[in-house]
Amino acid sequence: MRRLFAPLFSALAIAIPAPAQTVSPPHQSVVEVIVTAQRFDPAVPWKKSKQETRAGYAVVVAEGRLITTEDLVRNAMLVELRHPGGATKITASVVEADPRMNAALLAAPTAGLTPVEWADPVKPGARIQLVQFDEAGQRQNGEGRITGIEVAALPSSVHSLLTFQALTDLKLDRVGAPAFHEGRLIGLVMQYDEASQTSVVLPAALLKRFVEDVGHPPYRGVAVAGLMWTPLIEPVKRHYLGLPNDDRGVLILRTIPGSSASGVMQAGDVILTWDGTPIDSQGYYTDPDFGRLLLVHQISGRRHPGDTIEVTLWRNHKSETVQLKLDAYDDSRALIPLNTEGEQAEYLVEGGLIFRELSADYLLARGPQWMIQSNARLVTLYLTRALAPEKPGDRIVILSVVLPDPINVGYQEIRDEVILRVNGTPVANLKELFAIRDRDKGITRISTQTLGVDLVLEKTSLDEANRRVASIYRIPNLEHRKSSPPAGPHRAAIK
Amino acid sequence: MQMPPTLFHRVVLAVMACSLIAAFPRLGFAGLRDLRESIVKIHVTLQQEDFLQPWQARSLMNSNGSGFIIKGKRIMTNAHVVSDARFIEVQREGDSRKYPATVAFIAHDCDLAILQVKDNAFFTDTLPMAFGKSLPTLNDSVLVLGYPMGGDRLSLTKGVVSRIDYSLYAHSTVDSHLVMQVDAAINPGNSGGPVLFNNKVVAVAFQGIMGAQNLGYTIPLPVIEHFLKDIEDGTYDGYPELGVEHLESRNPALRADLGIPDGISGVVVAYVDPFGAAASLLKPRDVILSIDGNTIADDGSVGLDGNSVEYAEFIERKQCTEKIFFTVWRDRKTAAVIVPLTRKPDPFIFRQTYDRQPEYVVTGGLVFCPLSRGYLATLGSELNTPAAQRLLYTSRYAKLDNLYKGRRQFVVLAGRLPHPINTYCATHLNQILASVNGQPIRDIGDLPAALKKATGGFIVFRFEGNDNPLILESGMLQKSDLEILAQYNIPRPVHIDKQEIAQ
Repeated sequence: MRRLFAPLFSALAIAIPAPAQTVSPPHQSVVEVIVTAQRFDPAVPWKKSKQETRAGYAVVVAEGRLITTEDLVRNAMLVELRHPGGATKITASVVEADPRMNAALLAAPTAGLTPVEWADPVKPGARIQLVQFDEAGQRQNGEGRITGIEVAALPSSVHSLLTFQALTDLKLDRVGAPAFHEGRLIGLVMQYDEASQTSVVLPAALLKRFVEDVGHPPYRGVAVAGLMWTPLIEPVKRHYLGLPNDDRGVLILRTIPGSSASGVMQAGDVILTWDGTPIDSQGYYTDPDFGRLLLVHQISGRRHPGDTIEVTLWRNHKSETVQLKLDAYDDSRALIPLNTEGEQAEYLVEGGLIFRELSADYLLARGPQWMIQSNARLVTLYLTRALAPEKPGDRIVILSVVLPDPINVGYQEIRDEVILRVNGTPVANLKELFAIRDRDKGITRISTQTLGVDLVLEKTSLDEANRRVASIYRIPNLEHRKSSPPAGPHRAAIK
Repeated sequence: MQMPPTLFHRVVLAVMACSLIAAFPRLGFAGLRDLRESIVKIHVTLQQEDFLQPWQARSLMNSNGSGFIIKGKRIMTNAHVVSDARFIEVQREGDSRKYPATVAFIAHDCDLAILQVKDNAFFTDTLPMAFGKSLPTLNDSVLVLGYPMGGDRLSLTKGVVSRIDYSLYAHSTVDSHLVMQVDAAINPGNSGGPVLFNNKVVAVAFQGIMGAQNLGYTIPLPVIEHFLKDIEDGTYDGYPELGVEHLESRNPALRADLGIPDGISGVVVAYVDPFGAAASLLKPRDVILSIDGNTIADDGSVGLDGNSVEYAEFIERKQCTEKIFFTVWRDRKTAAVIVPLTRKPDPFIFRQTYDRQPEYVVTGGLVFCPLSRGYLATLGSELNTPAAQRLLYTSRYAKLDNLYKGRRQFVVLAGRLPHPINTYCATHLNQILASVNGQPIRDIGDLPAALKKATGGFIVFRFEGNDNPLILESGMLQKSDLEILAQYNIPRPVHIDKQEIAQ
């Protein structure tokens, strides 16, 4: 969890009297959310980390439905709702949670609460009201102002989305605190920085879309095109590409194999217009609602997976129009998945050797210095190829660590080694590794990227060693295979 | 033997002179009186290379260390005491005169050096110090002599041998050899001073561990003898590198797979370094059973003089012209393999370099230099960024992941000297150059010619792992270069070590 919020505070918070205002925020739509969460240990996939308790807010959006931020309910074991100041806790379930959007829809009885209305898009400078509650249920009202509207990185994932920056006079201590504009919900606070009194708000425009999309199952998530681009400001480079120096267009660097863009666009193409709107040389367009925004929002915020859009490209010194059918963001298509923090990693322990797929979470869990502290080869793969498998379904299968046992003497210092073949068969992902194990009733020969000699395990003693390893290291299951999405609160979202 | 740097912060012990006055310890030991005359203080004016602005060196520094006179009117000291020296003077105990000295031999891989003094008067009434015949053993008392910080005159400390082990030599940052750890106080300035056992030199003080106490590291006799033997022919060749990584052969399944009969022990070759002596002679899956007739145990150890040592110790004691005789288990039978020991120039080991101006090319205000440990060291906290991380990966995996193929160097965009011609170039900093104008850049020597191959008025730089090229207008280049060189005070736009390229 990379949330920047301070842990549970508020025992010392002093209630600030609500300032006189024309429209009072509809606090009867807001509940406290208490989450008991326990994530899987990123290093040891059968273990769960220490339990943690988080608190935040959710807002009623319809009868029996509430919205909050995904990072609040990530890895939730139990989600409970409480009326501010009340003693009774109501259990809620997670209908859908999407880490790509940082949005989660909860289901719980909402008797006595009224759904919020969604605010219309606002411009920077718009005044907002914030609401939070202290331990005793006393309402604290804050005033604020939208200071910025931009596509920015989400606080608890590697993705970027439309966000509002707001300057507020209230010290916010929990995620999900609602912000209102003229009595209507304008967004949920994702992050608050006490030093600058600035909060980052997840806009209602995105939340509303999320709620609507969840209401039309199956939920497909955010639309993506599958390309990487870079600004095209340098006059020399524009000249080199034969482009007029008119501050228009961004350069496509790469299309992700298997994505919507691959085959339609190619590296070296310049995007001149996207979905009917001119794109400037820094990748901005003019959004009808929010003004100047990065192209990203035009894909993820204004379109749905499956929509077909028109793109004008500058290719071979002339412009060309292509049709692009947008795809849904699908983390499982990545070579190194980005959003796996909310689920148990697949793994196989065979003869004490732990096999798993490389994920962003596995590397990032090593803390702020993860780039230096993790294996340099794995970090480089992540930084250069995470989203771009050579062929669909490819993953990086690693021998993460060896649990010492008599069967694996001589191999015990090997860790974070990339696996190329198992029992003589190439493995592109863990699914193939499981298939080989099922076929051969055991993994007895492992070829790695670094070692010129195969690691060999004795087949006749493998079962016994597996039992011994499971017992000594207290591993409840020597493997975890993902089946079709199970009924957990998160699986559905993570795809 | 080469190893990656450890997390310990080992520090070499030459430092700035210090003006504190301390009482001179009386040397009451019989026989030491004469030896006192042979222990010299070394004053060095040095200037380290500046890897960020390689056309100039860093500020002048004064440092001092210790040394001792050995036979043949030579002074032995540490390589790090006299590295990057601009001017060296030596001074005898109790003598106010300082004599200019020069470096005759310097061995950066084992941190030893030999100095010469032209003026014979320096050696008047001195006795060369003699080396012991064998290393002391644990708990033997040793004396450490030298000129540590805190005073001007000779200092003596006493301790016991605490440990004899392989360890990293901090000076080169990649080499490991035998070290003798003593608990005598060894402080900055002691570097290069002798360690005595029964009045004979058995080691040279050289490094400590930051934050640790009573841990002094010394270069023991076998390493000193190796160095002295190496320079007998007038040049220092350095340690031969076998270039083999192994797995233990303890695993029964692995043994069965390789068909190793019971009762035979050895280590399994897992990787052969293309730049090592064993390249093309040993292969992965070979099992090394013996070295020079000595049986290798399953964990790679060999009995030597009653101790159990790594089999690599046998190679440590050899010179580059010698051969090693291996018995290996290959294709289910034994085979004899003779490996002539060599030291091939290996640009991909990224050893710290000294006494050599870093190579560079400046064009359009872009500073290109070969990837080196000196350059990586300048990055500091920047190492935790994607571009620099790739440099770190390259320095560690160049050979393992075959990144070095078709290259002699990795050329890095190390800096940008801001000028209107390169306004938008900062995004490519710390990236590895792949090609210029379509010409592959295999080393920095390829760069000047490739720069001249501009087509259509553009110079196109492409970088490894980056689909975004960097483009300069060639027409503007000549004028900009003149401005940039003048403005940033760069005497020459190119410094390329021709000999290095020839190799």
